[in-house]
Amino acid sequence: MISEGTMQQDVTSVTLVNDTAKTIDTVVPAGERYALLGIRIVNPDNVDRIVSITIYKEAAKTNVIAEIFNITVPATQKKYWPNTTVASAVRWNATSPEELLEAGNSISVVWLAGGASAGATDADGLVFSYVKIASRG
Amino acid sequence: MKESCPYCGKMTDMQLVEGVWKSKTCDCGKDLAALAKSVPELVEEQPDLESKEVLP
Repeated sequence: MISEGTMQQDVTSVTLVNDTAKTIDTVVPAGERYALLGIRIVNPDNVDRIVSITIYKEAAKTNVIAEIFNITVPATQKKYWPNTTVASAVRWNATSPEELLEAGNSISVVWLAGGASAGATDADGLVFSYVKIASRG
Repeated sequence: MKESCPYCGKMTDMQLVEGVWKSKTCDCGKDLAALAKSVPELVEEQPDLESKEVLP
């Protein structure tokens, strides 16, 4: 359990357009570490979208550390990481306490294209909850 | 925070506006903020706090 650091909640607007994949990346800044506690993922579009979340070692996204999420998010619905109940849109039953990320690690969230759609936006379609911790040698 | 541009496919910076990361103009010249305003906005269902309580 994390006992130091600063709680952060990064809210990101997500816009999906007709039959087009969407990627949103964030990189852990130099001198910091993240203890990733939760991610809220919304599919605002009117077709289902497969969403994946991959952690890479570096911003260039060359080396994969882990794929922590790969789930079909139904149209206009939401999912949470971590959640061992795939069908649930509620953050519960979380068995993984946190994911520790070091400076330079990249979190990449991808909404795959879902076929012809109206497209849509959600002001809080992606929310990272994490504790920011200063790096130590 | 970066997002993919649906026009050129490249990753472009987002901007922090009042605590929310939002789209801005891509290096390719396309205004992604305008694109966001051109599509429907998801309105999540909220509980109806005005509804009358129905007792059995």
